[in-house]
Amino acid sequence: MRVVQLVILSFVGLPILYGQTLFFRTYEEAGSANLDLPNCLIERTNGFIYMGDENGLWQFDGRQFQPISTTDSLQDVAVSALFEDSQQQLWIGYRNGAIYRSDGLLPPQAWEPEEGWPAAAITGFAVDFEGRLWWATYGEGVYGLKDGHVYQFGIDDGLPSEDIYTIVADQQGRILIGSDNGVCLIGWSGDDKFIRHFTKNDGLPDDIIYSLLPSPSGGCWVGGYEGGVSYLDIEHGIASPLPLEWPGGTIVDLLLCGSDDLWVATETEGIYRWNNQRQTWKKSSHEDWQSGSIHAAYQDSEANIWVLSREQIISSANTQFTFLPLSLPTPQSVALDDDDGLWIGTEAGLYFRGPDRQSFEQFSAAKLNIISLYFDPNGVLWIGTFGEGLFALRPGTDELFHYGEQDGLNNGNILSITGKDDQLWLATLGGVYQLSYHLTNDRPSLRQLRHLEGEDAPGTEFIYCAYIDSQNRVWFGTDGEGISMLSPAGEHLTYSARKNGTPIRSVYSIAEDGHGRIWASTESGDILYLENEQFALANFRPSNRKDAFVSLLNDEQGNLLLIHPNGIDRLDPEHLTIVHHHDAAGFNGFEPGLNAFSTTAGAAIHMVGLDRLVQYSPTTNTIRQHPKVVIDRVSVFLEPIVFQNTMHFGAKENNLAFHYSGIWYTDPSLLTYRYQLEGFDRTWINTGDQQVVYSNLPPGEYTFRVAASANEDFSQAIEDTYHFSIALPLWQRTWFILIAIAGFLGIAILILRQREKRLKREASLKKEKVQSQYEALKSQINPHFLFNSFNTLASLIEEKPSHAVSYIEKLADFYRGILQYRERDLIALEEELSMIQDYAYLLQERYGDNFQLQIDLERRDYAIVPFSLQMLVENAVKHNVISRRQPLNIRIYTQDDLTIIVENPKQLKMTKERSTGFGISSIRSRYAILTDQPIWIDDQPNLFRIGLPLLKPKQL
Amino acid sequence: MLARIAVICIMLLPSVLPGQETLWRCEGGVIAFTSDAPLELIEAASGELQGVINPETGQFAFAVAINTFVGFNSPLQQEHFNENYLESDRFPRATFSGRIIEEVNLREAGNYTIRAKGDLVIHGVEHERIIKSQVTVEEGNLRVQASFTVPLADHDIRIPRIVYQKIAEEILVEVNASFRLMPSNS
Repeated sequence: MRVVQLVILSFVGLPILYGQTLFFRTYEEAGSANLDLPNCLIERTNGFIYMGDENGLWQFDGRQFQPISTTDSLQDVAVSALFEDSQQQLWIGYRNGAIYRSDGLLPPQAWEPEEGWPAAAITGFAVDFEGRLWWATYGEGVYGLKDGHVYQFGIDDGLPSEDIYTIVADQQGRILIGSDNGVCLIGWSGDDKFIRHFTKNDGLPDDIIYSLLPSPSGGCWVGGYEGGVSYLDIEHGIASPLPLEWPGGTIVDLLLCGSDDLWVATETEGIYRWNNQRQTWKKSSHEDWQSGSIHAAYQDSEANIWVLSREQIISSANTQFTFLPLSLPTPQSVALDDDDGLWIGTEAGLYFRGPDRQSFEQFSAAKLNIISLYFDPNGVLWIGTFGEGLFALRPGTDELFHYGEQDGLNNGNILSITGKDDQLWLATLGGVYQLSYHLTNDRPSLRQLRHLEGEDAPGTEFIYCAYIDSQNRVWFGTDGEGISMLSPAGEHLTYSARKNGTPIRSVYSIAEDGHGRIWASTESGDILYLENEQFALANFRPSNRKDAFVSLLNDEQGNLLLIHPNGIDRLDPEHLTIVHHHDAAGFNGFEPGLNAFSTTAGAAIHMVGLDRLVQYSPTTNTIRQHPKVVIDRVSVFLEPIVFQNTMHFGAKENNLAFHYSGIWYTDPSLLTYRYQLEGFDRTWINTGDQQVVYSNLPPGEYTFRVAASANEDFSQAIEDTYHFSIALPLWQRTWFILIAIAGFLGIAILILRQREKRLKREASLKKEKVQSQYEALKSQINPHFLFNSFNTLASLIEEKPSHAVSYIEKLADFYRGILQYRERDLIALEEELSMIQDYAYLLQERYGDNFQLQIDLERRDYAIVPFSLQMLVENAVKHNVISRRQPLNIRIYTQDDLTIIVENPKQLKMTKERSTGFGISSIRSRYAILTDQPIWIDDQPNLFRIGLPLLKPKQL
Repeated sequence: MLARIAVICIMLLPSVLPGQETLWRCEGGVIAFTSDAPLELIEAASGELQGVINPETGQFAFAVAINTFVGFNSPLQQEHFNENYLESDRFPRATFSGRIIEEVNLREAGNYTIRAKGDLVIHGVEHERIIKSQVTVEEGNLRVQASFTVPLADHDIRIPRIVYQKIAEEILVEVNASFRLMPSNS
């Protein structure tokens, strides 16, 4: 409401202060990015700036532009709108009507409602008080989500135009749009659409509205195509124009810096500033940009203004500082009068610039060497000179009154003037003067209250500065003798040494911060502060230059400012955070005069250097005092991964690289980092690099922490962290070890079992062998066999003596075979057969043609269990009738190369031969040890066959 | 009531439109819906979708009689659909009428993606919708294909708790209709 009141109160044409310009940095050369016609820009919560141009979307960290490709590479399409919602999702609107959405740093993905995308350019997004998304288009009106559906607000619904330039949500979350036909408040009243229309007739500057800025006080600032700015009171439907003659220009953007400064970016006329408190317009534009046009402007969280333009692409400036080039004799002091008139004391005279003037003029012909200036509460300007005493100038007059020895001022070198009410304190090279003055005559009369000199002087008579603090203590900085203090009670204290005993020598400047702490700067550039009645050395040094003297002052927000040749540092007294404003803020080559600043209540602070005047207006916006830091890329073996979803790595994915970006748009060159991989690094590691690689990380849990600082102090730095784990390799995991142990045990058991089995088998084989040898011997030495053999032999000797010899030889061969093979597990089939033939010979001699053995073998390179065939033949002879009528014809033949078969016709004896049952079962068990193949018996009524497996000779 | 007005509009639309314009008309379009609930999939369709599109103004109107939907899983289901849920006695038709947002010439052959903005009336409850459709125009024939969802809650269609698991809260509707160019006074 205050805004409105002010608007109504002041209806006078207010002057524009000329000349003071922002210091813009342009980023057109930043990186290799091919930027083209920027359309929109936002700073995201994560710190990155996103910019949409004709080629697509870019991410910017203050140094480099990174193209952001969408998931389906809709890249070379112009981005026309950007928005971040409260869930920190980035909404991207394209000129072709497409809408994409990005969560965190993930690639944007198409967001297409069932109802489809508009076919017109997206010109903005807003979220209303119920969290519903709205988007404006150029050509199709406004779209909004409600209960899962998309609704259009168009001409049919009463919207005056479907070409929408801007959409915002006001303080209460109501949706306002700017169009070719004024401003509309749109929304839902139950299930009905409502549209409230404001036009030029309601006080808007124009019907074409490019820019809307919701005000914290509830209304909305409206920027017109023509006609300037109005403040729209939505409830009452009244728009009030700003009380000034609009200097002209099409407004493209409105920004609010704190509650007091309205920044108005125009298409072709640069940037104007409207200050509520001072009710003045200040036009500010980039010097080499006057012909360029502004597309859009934006304000970040560090009090920087960003300007998008066709010519400079993207530029930024710190809104707290403006600069004016000076070409005066060495400026040494500056003061601001109540009418915004600026006074500069130089080594050759006093210069003045009225509030409506562009340049300084010498105030009087006197070439005074002016060191100090002071406006007293009555508006009298007190002028301290080097060697020529004190002068006074009454407001609105042009006569300088001189004060010197006749007024008790024995020393004419007045280095510093301060005062309170009707009293003045002068720091001179002849001690300290306390004076009181009266404005009775033309010439203010001065009366000396106190002169501290000689013995009374604060250590020395050379005094550099005097400062009155909030408790009315007066502080003096001396030449070589430290700091001196005079309490209101008249008590005199001198601080000639620091807490640790180091002497304090010359002190150039003294100031008190918003927390009541006294600060001092020394001749060596050190900064001291008072703590527990002693001065201690601060842990920062504003400038590394040896001769760098530092001027100290406090701003209206209670910050301590340190002015030095590198620029200005701002110290937040509560957190003791220091923010540097150096080259990047426009202080390159700044040579400030000592204590050459003005602090007028309610006005900007002015300071002068050799070639420039600097104006500092601290923003009332809450600004971020620390850089942000974002881990923006994690790579495994240099291959970037989607790390947001990946927390667990395999044992071999142990080469990790972390890339992080510090965000400090104020001055990216000041950024330093420190990082620590918890679980690996024992301490923090300081670095200037933005990437760190860890190779061969052992398995474990880790947290990568990184912080950025712009002043090398990390105590309050913001951190980003990334937790992850590297798995144990397979062979170290518990389950694997358990399985492996179980496996080993299993195998061992198996081997043991096998071995046991083998041993058993060997044992039984041995037993069988012994048994069979015994049986074979027994059967062969069977008296019956011998008896038969001898009978046969006897008859042979009688009948065919020649046969008898060979018979005996065969018998001998047969027994030799038995002796020879009985020890072996296997013999060649050939050997068995030769033995069989011997045996058959013996039988043939006995039975004559009634016994036939027929051997039909194709191949004989097999092995066989010894005596097996012989035993079978013997069995056949034993159990069957052999007679002329029933000759026994035994066949031995092979089948399929697998089996050897002994076949005989079945002609069983009537009287059964006593059988030991040993023969076949012995063969069977011996084979069972050697092979899996079975022995089969084919017992038919007329035929008996028995098959033995043929074994490979290698088994011999 | 609203439904009735819409129906009347459709009937009268040709006559209220000025002059001897020709309109795209459809007499037997196919409209099908699918309810994909955890326990049951219900599909039904009607081949009696009527529609008219004015190629001059982009205005359009569609209507379908609720009781022409067939293909339910059981006759009982169809009966419930008509009597309990859609109440086709009271609200015999579903309609959709409005205007096409895009400026396209629907007399010229071609493929168009358009968005139809209009009021969807089902169960007597009107709801403004934007429905994205594919329109193909060729040789005196215009084909419209669209698919969209209808949340039951939007149209006050109440489902008894006991059959909750059998009927989806959002019904998928698919439209496939062929139009012919006819004089408006025919």
